[in-house]
Amino acid sequence: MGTSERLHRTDPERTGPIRDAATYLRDAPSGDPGPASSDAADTPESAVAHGVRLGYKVIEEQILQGQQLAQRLGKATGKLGATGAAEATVLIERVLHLYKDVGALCMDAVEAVARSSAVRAGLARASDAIKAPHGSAEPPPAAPTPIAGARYSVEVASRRRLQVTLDLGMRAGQYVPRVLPLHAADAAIPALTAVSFDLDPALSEPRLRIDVPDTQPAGTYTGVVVDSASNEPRGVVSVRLLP
Amino acid sequence: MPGPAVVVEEACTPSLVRETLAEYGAITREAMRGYLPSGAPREHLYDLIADYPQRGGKMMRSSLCIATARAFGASLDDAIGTAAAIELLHNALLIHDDIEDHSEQRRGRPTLHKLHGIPLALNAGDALSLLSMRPLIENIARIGARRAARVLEESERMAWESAEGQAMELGWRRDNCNGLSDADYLTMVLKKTCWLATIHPCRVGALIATHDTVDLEPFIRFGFFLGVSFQIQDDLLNFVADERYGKELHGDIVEGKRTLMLNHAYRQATPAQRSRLAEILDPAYGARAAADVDWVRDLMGTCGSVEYARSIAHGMAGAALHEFEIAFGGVPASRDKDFIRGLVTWVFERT
Amino acid sequence: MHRDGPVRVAVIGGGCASITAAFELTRPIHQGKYQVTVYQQGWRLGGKGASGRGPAGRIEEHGLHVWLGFYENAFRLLRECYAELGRDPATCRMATWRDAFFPDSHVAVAEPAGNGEWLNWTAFFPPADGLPGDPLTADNPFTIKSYLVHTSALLRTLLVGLRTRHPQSDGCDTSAGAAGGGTDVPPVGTVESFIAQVADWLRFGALTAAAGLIEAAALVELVVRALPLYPQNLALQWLNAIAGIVRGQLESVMCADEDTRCKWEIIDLVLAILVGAVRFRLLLDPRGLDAINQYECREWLRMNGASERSLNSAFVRSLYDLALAYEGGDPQRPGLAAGQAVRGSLRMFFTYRGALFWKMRAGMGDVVFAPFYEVLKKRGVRFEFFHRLENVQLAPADTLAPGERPYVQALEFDVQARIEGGGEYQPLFDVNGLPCWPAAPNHAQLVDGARLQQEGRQFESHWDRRRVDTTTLQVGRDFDFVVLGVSIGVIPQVCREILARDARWRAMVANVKTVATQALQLWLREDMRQLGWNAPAVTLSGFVKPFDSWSDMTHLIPEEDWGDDAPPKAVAYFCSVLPDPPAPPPDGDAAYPAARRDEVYANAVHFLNHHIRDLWPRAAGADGFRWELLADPAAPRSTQADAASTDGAYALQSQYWAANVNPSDRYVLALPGSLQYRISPLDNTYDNLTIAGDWTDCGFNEGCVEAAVMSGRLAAHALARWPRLEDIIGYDHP
Repeated sequence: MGTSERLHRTDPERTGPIRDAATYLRDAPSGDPGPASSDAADTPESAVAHGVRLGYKVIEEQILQGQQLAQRLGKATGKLGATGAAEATVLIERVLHLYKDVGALCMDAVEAVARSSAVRAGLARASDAIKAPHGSAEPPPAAPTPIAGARYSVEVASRRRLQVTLDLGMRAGQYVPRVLPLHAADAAIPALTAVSFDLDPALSEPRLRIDVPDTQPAGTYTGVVVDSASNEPRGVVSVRLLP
Repeated sequence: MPGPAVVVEEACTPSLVRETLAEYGAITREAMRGYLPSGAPREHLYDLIADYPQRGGKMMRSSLCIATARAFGASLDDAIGTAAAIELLHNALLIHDDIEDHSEQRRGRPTLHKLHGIPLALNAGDALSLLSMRPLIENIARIGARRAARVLEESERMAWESAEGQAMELGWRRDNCNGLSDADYLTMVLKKTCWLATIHPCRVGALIATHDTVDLEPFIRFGFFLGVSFQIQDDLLNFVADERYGKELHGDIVEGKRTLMLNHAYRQATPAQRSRLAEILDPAYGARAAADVDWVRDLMGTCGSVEYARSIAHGMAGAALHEFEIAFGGVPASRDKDFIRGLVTWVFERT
Repeated sequence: MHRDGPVRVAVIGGGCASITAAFELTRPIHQGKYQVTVYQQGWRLGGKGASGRGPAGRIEEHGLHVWLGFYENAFRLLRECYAELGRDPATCRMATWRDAFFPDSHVAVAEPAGNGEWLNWTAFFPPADGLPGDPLTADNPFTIKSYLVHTSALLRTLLVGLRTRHPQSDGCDTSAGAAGGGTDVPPVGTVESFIAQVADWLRFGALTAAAGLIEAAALVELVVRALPLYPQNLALQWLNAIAGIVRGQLESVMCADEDTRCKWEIIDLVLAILVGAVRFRLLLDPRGLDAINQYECREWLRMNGASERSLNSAFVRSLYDLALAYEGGDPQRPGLAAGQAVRGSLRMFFTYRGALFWKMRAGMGDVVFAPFYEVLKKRGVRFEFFHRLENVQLAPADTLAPGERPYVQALEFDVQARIEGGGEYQPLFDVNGLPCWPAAPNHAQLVDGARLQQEGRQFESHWDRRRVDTTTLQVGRDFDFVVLGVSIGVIPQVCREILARDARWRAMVANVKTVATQALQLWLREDMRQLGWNAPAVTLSGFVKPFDSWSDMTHLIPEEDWGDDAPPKAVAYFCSVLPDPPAPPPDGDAAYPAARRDEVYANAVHFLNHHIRDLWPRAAGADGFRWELLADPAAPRSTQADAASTDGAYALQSQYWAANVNPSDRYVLALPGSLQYRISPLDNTYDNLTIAGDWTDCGFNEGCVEAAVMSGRLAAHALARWPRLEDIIGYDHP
């Protein structure tokens, strides 16, 4: 059976759908308006707006392309750096980043909630273990200014110098915090597990306790603070252990 | 004609920017001098390498790097090497730019290839760009291997973006591309100018200061809008300022540079005007006569391209201010922070 | 390369995709260019959509067959088919497609109320303009922007509905400036003015819960309409601000009534989708919603701020139940690719025409496949029943000329039975004037039919490999092109040669997974009201497993043949996933299907004794289900007293249940990270072969009729360049 006798399918013009939403952002049927019409700007004011709008469109697309390129390159070549190209490291870094990202989103949400007087009135979380400190300021209702920070004390047991960053957005009186083990970027390094919240009996304030083993390698360790009732993230604890 | 719709803040005195540029500029220049080698052949290489760095210049790129680093809490020492590297690379690219643009003047004096011929200038440009690596390598000792490696990665990215941007622009000129949109222009400026001038300095400054813990993406946006308004303003100055500015007047038109104004004029022009413009811009056309340059200049005037570009630049500045708050919002108030914010408006005040 | 005579196409499999491909290739516009032969195992077309008629002409289906109002391709073809069928309305009960399908707008979800009880939500989705399959207008109705606009309109509707339950706050309604009243897009101002607007709203909105939210929702709608115009990070801040307030509300109204709480959960999910669309740059990414297909749906929503409560709401659980989205059939392993889930939900809720659901007046085989069979016969398509594909033979690699692509050299079939007299098998029979598919083959038409019947040959069972003959089709001699419309469950068996050589196919088979299902059908002597269900007839899901989905099919009774005396008063269909055993059964295990069937029977007994009362309170007493409710086709007139005297659970034997464990009967899943391994019918690696089915990369990668029809149309395009890709509705949508 010669190939000349056998029928062949012809190649279709494409083998997948066109998902590019940019072509669907206009209500008109597809057909790219030429460069002339897309740069419509008659008055100085509309020119300004057009410029800003276009500027954002360009920069967002470029950032996206950069990310995609980085992803592709990241697979092909190992990352430069002292930690080497271990995949697990990259994964953990991404997870930490994600926690920060998600945490940040939740922080914003939580902050907005805390500002709402209706929510404060209605909220009834069990938090007998930690009493809200007396005298902490009631945030003024209307202004979108940051809330006065809650008072925490931090108790550290370590033979070496370290820096502690505690990033929380909501007063402890509203929930019972729990901190998850603090991890380093390198998965091989053991996590800091002797980290916890409790109530300082002397001051009636929440207290963050950190015990650092002598053999703990130097580096930055980060962990999430969650609401112990719902397990939703409330903030981040970061410990930078100096060599 | 109504003024720009954006009210631009003036949070600092205009002199703060000038003073800071002078201060950081001097420090950087000193650091650069430390890297300029001496040796033979002097008149064929090492004098050429030292030429542009010693001619002056605004030193905006390095100042932005230092100021960002300090605003985020680093010391001058940590950032100075990287700042010097940026300026060295910038000067190296200037040498090549001047050749590519057939420019005659740079900072009030003849360009390097006008003085020494293209081959030697080209070689000096190559050497200078290699020299810009030295401070980055010394960073390993200065700020540690991990940060040094990250700075190198960032520099690599920035170098690629610059090359791509330059390729876009040169390609348009060589192939006589017309009918370019604003989006095309913005993309090109982002790559060619903004990465080196504004995005990269901020990114590495913040990277060094925070040990690479802060998200560097907001600096892309801030740097982009700042750099674009900077570039458009540059092009406007070239159009309207006189020869005190230090470069040839209307040099851009002579080069056929695809500025925002030129693209706008082309789009607004009648078909007859468009073909005339395309003819003039054609690289095969030969030397552009003064009459042609005047014709193009008048066309840009009648099409309102200058006002258009001015409005766009103001809009970009407004966006830059907005992005500044996002990128630098978490950082305490400081002179450096005021300086960076002040750069946005200073862009319009410099001559 | 041209020869005289038509191009011969072998279509293997008789399910939705294959029939669609056959229908497209034999359109009059091709003027007979394609000679199509459909090869089908067993005695009936339909694949997973097949149905049969059992005793009393009762309809026995593969599972729950409901069409959705967004099935534009499926309805268009169905309408064309009925138009071509030309049945006389004067004599035929089911002459037009409107006779065959009717709209159903009632949806229900079941929600555990916490104390072992269940709450049942019913919702009415308002009928929409037009009918599915109508020509689309010039405005593209399927833009992401229009989705988002609908979404935010839904948001506002829900919020307005809630407003009446909160005390009016005074003095703060005039806060948000531009939000007042108008639904026009605000003039595009500067970045600064937009920010000022947001800041204004936040100042006021943070104070008052309900009033601020109404304005906020209106602003969301405006923002979304203008979304392409505004910078992404602003939109994100904006959405996050609203999200924060809303979630605060969710917490504070814990004690409010269930209706309210349910609505808040939906709002929460919608917000998570909006936030996710912005964060993940779905508007700009050229892959559109496919960009997030490696995420699991719940995981993605969670990443975008949806609360745990909303993620476990009845709404989300139903989404998974209706999509049978449980890996391995294990209810503990839900899995749905986020991009496809969002796409499916958006299409389902915002692009339906007519009604959300469309039900069939008879079995899907009778309503869909019988008409298609008749039309295809008239067009000259040949059907070879009782042909089971055994192997797709490729030309050996060393025989290929340089630059020649691999191709299918031969198709090997098992012939399960030969037709007496050598002609074509006549598969349909008449039930009350309607041509239908029987639940068992017509042995009288088969050579040695009596013996085959006596031996109990299961022509549709994977585990009964008996045959009377084999036949091999050769390329060039018997066929030119192949449309492989068997389901992916069968591919490892019949495409061994392709899998041996082709890494992409191996990846596809490894990653595109399927799930077995179980089904139960009951015919009841009392109607729903008597049984305690007072709402309109529904399709409900989210109920206890197994049998988490229930559809009231009482409308089928007139189509069945129960006689005039005591027909049943209600019909109920149940279905759900069926978990796989830890190890797959060996091929020779002929007892496997029966064992699973027994398992389903036991499940059904348990279900009826313990759980059905939460849906039908009066269907069960203190000691379990009232078995006398079941209508036995063998004894339809037996009285209640008679029935009660038999052993209770044994009465279930008279009903219909199925364990759909055959590989080709398994339902296709859209697991996260799996969709990229699907292959498109347009793929031209083997240049006389195309694939078709809801398991292919067809633009709507979820197991449903619409996906299968789109896939069949793509397969037709692959061979004939027709229909044009832009005519396949929804193919290019975000």
